[in-house]
Amino acid sequence: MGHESLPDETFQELGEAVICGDHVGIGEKVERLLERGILAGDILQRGLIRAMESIGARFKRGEVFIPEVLLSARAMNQALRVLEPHLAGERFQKGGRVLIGTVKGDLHDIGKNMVATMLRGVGFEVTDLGINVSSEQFVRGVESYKPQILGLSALLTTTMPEMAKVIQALEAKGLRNLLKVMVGGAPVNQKFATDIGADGYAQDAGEAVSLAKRLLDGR
Amino acid sequence: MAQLARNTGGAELLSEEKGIQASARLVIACRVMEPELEQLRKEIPGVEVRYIEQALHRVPQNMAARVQEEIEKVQNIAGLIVLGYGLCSNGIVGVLAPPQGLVVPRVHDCIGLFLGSLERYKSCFSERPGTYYLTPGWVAESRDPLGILEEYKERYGQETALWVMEEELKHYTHIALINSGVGDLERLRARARANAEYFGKQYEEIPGDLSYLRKLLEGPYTERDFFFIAPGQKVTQERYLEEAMACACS
Repeated sequence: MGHESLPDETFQELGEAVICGDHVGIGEKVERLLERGILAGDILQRGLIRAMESIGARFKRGEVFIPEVLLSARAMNQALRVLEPHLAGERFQKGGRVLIGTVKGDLHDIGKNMVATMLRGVGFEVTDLGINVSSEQFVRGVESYKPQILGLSALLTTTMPEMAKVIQALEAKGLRNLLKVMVGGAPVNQKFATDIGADGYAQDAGEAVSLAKRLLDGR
Repeated sequence: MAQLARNTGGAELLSEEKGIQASARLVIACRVMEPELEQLRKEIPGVEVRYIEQALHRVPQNMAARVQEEIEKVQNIAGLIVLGYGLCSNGIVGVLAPPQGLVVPRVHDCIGLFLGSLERYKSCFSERPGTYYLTPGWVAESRDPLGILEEYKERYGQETALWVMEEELKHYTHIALINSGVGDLERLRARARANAEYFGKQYEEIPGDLSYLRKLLEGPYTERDFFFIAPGQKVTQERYLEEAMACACS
C-alpha cells in the first residue's frame, strides 16, 4: 500500500524539520503533504520515523546529544498531533496492545516516551505506566490491560537488573507466556536481553517499532 | 606492605596487589575527583594521579579509548595502575588491562566513590532516585545544571536551552551537595542552592565520606571494593551486573 514510487525528496523537508527540531513549522509541512494526497502512513514511515532513526544513529555515534534528541522528539510529537486523525482513518487493523514503562529506581523517560509515541503512530494501543515502575506494578498492569507486548526501559546499569525482576515476577504469576517482553535503554544490549529471558531487544525507537510488529506476528 | 596488610580488615586482598611497591602505584582518574583526591594526596604522598578531562561523561562512547591511551602512556613505568572511574554508562567497557593488570573500583558511577561505600550509594539511590548530586568537581567544571544551561544557551538560544534543561531535570526533586569538607564550601553551597532555586528543586546537603577515595589512592584493594582485571582481559558490563543480578534473582 502507499506511494512506493514517491521519491525520498517528497519527505525531505519534513525529515529535516524533525532533525532540526522545528516544532513550530512542522505541522504546516505535514498538512502540505496531506493536501497533496500523500498517505498519512507514508508521511509517518518515510518522513517522521526515518528522521527519528537518523537522529538515533547520530546520537549513538556521539554526533548529537540529548538536547537534539529532545528537540526532535518535540517536533515529532507536534507532527503526530496533525497526522493522528488521518492515520486513524487509514488503518485497517489495530496494531495490538503494548504496556510500557521505565523500571524501578530509574527516572529516565526520553527514549521510552519516544518508543511509545512511535508505536502509537503506527497503530499500537499503548499504555504507559511512566517511570520508576516496580515489578508489582508491572504485574498489575499486565493483569488489567492484558497487553500482547510489554516494553521495559532502563537507562542505568544499576537498574538493568530490575528488568530481570519483572520477568521473574511475571513467571511467578503464570503471566509470562501470555505476552512478549521487549527491552531497551542505552546500557542494555542483546546479550543482556537474552540472558534475562526477554523476547527481544531494540537499540532505538525505530527498531522498537519493527521489533514490536515482529513480536506481534509471533516471529 | 605492612601498612596494607594492617588495613585489610579481614577482606581478601586482590592477589596481584600483594608485593607491589606503593610508590610505583599510579591512579588514572576523571578530573571530577581532583578536589577530593588532591586533598587526600596531601596526607598520602608518593601516589601519582593522572587526570582525564571530565567532558567524557557526556560522550561515553569515547571514554574507553581515551582511558586506554592514558594507560598506554604509563604502563611501562607503573607497578600498579588503578582507575578512578566507575562503569560510567558503560564508558569504560572494553578497556584492556595492561601487563600489570588493572584495579577498578566496583562502582557504577563516581557518586558511589564520593559517598564513601557501595552500601551507602545503594541506600541513597533506593531511598530517593530523584536526587541530582553535586560535588566540588562538578561545580568547578560547570557541569552543574546552571553551567550546562549556559552552554546550551550558546548553542540553542535562551528559550530552547531552558526548555531542554527543564526536560532533562523534570523528574529530579532534589539537588544535593555532597559535602566532604573539600573546597570553598561557602561558594559551593551558594552555587548548589542557586541551582536548586533556579530549577525549583529542594536543596539538600549530605555529608561526603572520603574513605573509598582514600582506598583508591592507597588501598587496600580488597575484592569487596575493587575488581582486578587480569592482564589482557577487558572491563565488561557483566562484572558489574553479576552482583546486582544475584540480588534480583534471589
